[in-house]
Amino acid sequence: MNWDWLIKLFPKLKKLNLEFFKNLTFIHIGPKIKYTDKRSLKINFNKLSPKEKKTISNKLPKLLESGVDILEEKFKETADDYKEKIQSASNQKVLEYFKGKIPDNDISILKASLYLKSVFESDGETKLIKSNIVNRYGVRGRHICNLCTAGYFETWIRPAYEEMSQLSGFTLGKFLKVYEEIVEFYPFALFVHGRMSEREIKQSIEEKIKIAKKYGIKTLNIHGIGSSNLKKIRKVIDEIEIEDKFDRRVEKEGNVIVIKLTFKNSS
Amino acid sequence: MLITFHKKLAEEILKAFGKKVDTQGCLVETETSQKVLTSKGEEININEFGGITKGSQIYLKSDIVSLINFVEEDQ
Repeated sequence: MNWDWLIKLFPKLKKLNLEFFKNLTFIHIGPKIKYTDKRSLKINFNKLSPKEKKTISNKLPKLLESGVDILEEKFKETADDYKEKIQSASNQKVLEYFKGKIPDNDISILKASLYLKSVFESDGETKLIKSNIVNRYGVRGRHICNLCTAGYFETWIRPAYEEMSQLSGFTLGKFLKVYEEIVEFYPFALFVHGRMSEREIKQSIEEKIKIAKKYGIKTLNIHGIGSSNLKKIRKVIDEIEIEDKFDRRVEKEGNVIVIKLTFKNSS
Repeated sequence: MLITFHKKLAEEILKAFGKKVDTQGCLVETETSQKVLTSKGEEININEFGGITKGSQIYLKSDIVSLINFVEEDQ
């Protein structure tokens, strides 16, 4: 690539040897002066004269044509973070297992959800990722994301496939029917979000208990984040327990809570 | 080879490609005011502009799904 225009624009670059330009792989255009390492050049665009800005602007379309991506800084950082996190052994294990077993569109949702899970596990900000998934994929996106972040692809859906595939007359269609029910209703789990009132939580738990019993499922896991959620869930369970007997166990890890209910009288 | 830009300079970058931001915050062609779309046919708000990919000027949204598509097509 010919960088003469850049040297003409920034005469100071003449000090750099030819090797620098041979190895140049990264240019950042930002509002502040940043140091350069051996392979990158950071341009303080705001300090340039209108003529200098024009020179850069004129070059950008040609650079793009020659195969250079032009990316917003944060987008690039997130893309690198995604590449790293999605390559982890645990994420690849889930993706490899489900490829070809669930619809392609769900694989895309699963990838975004596994990334969200990895960001959450490294104490990163997940609100925007979750809302991106829901905006793009709707209720199905929300459900798959919830199932994935709570680990149900490994603990429920995979065992369901493995058990079913041992049966004679097994077809992928039969598994997909069960899978669709899990994605649509997840009868074994309830995800309580901060905006749910006690009344809504109670209604949802009662509904889930009915569905779980219908499917012959003996447990219901109630997921919540934060101590105020835990308080609300506990209060509601105390009320329900009078009507429907079950054992309960609370698992708490940091801010994440799972209350596991096992029905005593389930058929 | 990669060029990144600071979010504050997004409009300067777009200007270099004959694009601007309309009153609703969407990317449009400077000359015709026609909406700039992603490869999936979606409009792009300046707040979610992720960049332009090499070749035939494909404009990117910065949401996670568009980002994953970009990473996979780039690999």
